[in-house]
Amino acid sequence: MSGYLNNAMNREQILALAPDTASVSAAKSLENTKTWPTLGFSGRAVWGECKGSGSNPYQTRIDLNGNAFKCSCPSRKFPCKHGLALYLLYAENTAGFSQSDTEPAWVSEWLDNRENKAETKKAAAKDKPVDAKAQAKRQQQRDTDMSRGIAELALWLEDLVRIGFSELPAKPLRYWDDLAARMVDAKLPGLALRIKKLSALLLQKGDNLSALAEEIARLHLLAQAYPQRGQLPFDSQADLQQLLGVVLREDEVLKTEPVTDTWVVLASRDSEDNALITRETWLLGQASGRFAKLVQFAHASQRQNLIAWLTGNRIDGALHFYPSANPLRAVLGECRTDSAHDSVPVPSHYPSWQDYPHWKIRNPWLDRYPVIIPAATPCYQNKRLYLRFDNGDAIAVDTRQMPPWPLLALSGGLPVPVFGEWDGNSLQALGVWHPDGYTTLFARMGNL
Amino acid sequence: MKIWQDLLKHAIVGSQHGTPLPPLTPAVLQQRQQHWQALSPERQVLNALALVSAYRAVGQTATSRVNELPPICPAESRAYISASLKARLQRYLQEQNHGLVQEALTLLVDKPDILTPDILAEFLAWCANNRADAAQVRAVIGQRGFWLCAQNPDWEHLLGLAADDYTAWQAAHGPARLSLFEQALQADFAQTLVQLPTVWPGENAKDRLALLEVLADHLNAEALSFLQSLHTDRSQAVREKATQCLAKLHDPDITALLLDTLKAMLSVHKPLLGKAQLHVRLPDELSETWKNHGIQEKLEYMPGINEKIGIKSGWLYQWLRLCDPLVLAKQLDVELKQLRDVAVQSEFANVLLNGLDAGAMLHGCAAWLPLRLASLKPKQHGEWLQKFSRVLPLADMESFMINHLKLLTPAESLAFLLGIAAHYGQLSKALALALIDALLASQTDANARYLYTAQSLAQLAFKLPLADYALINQRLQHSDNPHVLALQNTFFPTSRTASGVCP
Repeated sequence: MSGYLNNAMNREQILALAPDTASVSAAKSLENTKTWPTLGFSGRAVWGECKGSGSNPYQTRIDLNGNAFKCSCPSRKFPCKHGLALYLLYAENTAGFSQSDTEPAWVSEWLDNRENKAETKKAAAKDKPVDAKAQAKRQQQRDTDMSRGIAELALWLEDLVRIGFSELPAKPLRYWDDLAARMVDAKLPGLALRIKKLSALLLQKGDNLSALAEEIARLHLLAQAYPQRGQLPFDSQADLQQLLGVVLREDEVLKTEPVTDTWVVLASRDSEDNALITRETWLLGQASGRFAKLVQFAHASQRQNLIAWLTGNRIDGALHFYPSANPLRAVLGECRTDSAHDSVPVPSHYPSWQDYPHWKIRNPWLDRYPVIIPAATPCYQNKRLYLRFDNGDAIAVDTRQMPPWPLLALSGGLPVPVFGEWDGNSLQALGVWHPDGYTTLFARMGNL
Repeated sequence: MKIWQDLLKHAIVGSQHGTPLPPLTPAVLQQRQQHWQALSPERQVLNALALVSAYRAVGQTATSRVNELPPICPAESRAYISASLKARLQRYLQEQNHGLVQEALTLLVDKPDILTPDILAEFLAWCANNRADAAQVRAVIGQRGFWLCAQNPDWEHLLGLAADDYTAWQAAHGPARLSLFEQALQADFAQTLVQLPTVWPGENAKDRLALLEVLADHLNAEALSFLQSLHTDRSQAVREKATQCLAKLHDPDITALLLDTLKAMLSVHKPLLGKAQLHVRLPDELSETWKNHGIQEKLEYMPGINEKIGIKSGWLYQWLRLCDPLVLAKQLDVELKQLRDVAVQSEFANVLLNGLDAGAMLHGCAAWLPLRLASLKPKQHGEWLQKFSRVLPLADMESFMINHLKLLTPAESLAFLLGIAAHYGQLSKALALALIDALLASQTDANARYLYTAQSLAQLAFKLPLADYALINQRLQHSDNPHVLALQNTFFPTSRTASGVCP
């Protein structure tokens, strides 16, 4: 029993899953074994039946691998109060649960369905008969479209340089949107995003024309590299494809060599654009010292389908990395989540931020890359935040999305190691180790 | 790198002007440049930008020097609040549940514990944005909070004013400045008012208006001479606001000028037989005196109504909104009810009634509200009650609100109560029970449940009178609707009791 108990999250972690304060209060009111006639757990799930106002009790179950919830109550909240209360009871009063190797049918069916769905997703591409001829034809059409789009981009860049950047701030948004739409037509969605980024850059304050020139330079490099892509190393070709928006299928990534380690969750962040939720989770391999990033997508109405890892969770097992000169994005292979830990010790080894130029040489389009800055003192001077090393050298911290105050508050003026993403010029701080533990930073930026 | 700046200038101007591309530096880059001589000028610029950009990216150190270290925060001598209280406060902050944050702050002040560093930044941001009581804030933030506030100009005011220093607002900026100005006004109104004319000429119109709006919330007769001096202000918006303040303070000059102007335009004709009539004679031009008092020469729309208005009618509207309807009725030698009646009958009814509404709101004229409601269709009452709830105390409004609620569906009642609750610190017992009834009734209506969010419900719950908690709770418990349990948990979180939120 104790072996399973270790997999439970602590109270704070569980309550962090609640959608609002009311759910926390409601869950606490149900945190009583008397309201649960049935309570059980197995190696992979926890379940319980809760007395409600209806004639039948609500059937609540939790998949421990990924903290997924399901309940038969009519609540629109996710997780509902029953799910939270069940998890709280399991975490703090496991003695009240009966252990069983076989789950009730309503639990095992749900678990099997979840597994089947995952398997089906993986197997779908595998089982589908491939019409090689049609596939080659589609690929040829795609290559033609992409080459046409790249040629158009190259021509557009030359026009831009001919008329001069000074003309650009006066261009209407339609000027950028039209080109972005043509890139989408040419099967180059990655380029469409970069074109839109150009128009956004012009709206920024500060030295925006220099930043625009940097981006134009990268686009030109891309337009020149694409026709010669056959001569590039395999990993650089993959980076190029990813930039253009051609993403490898997950089942193909799963065929790559796995990297096995104990992966610690350092941070997880949701962003929403046009009702598309993107959840990024940063991991650090304890033995390998490698960073990995899991990226999940879901429509806003399907948010509950995203796996919710919490800071400090360990994922034991294999990750498969997307091919890249600097591999970072990965998918989960055979692995198991151990939710017991909530502390994140300062890693003993990790890539140095000073290696960034080497990564940049391998991939000239590299943007931000995760790093850990060893103990440095956060200093706020002239409305800018720096991380100052003992020798007086300092690196800038990007405060456009993340105000400087949480990091300063946690440091108290003392040197602290910081986890973040480095782009060669500034750091976007994501987490900090301080005397009381490790804390992620961006979760609190909404109200600052 | 100078070569990058040179290239950037070249790209900004554009290659169409034929300016030769500067030779790249260092020499290793120049060697590559020589291979491009045959390419078009545009390609050469693009190649040079790509090459130098990549060279910079892989060669630069990206560090700067910071010679001075900030002071280290002194160690705390007090214990931190518990993890569960921290989590609860964090939730209130994230859900912007202002009422509960304020209540938690009030109760924390009496505790020996202080906030943990990981919640400080968010909490101080909330305090600055919500003008929290600086003394209460100082009691709970510990040394770390003081250290942090000293580094953020927007939070410095939370450190508090020295006993005799009421000038700090002059050097501050943004919301912190307005907050400090307000604190200074509350601490020593006369002294702060003396300082105001010294900084006034150096302020831009937006800042002058912002300061005046803070002053307008704390008006008293001592401000008269300063407000009178503003008729020469450069900004029309500032002059207009100053005139409103003067009218509200019953400044003799403005009041006399206003009544003279209105008496010259309005007269009530009382025939021996038939109904009284209001004669309106609009002036041909707007006098310089009124322009100096901020009256807009061409008001296109009646504010808040979004209805077009003629130029001269616009002047009438602006004068009426400065005037107390009771005083105007007396000047015209009629009862207030009769003034309402003749205004309704007039060809200028819309302008007159809206102007009188605005005047009643400026002067808090409670006698106007029932008369005005009587001239409206019952369905329109809600809109007027919401407007007047901004200025009239709940006691003057309650009976009308209760009557109005009888006409509404549960969903409409809920929307109405959500709207008016925002203007009052606490609802009366009768309104609280009406609110609970509306909520219970809305639980059977799926559409009505979408009217509110958990956040708005939680903020509404905060408006319930604590003394009547038991009664309200009992009312909720009698319902057998499954949605009511969730509702009850929102209204009565286990952390909140009749004595307030429990840290």
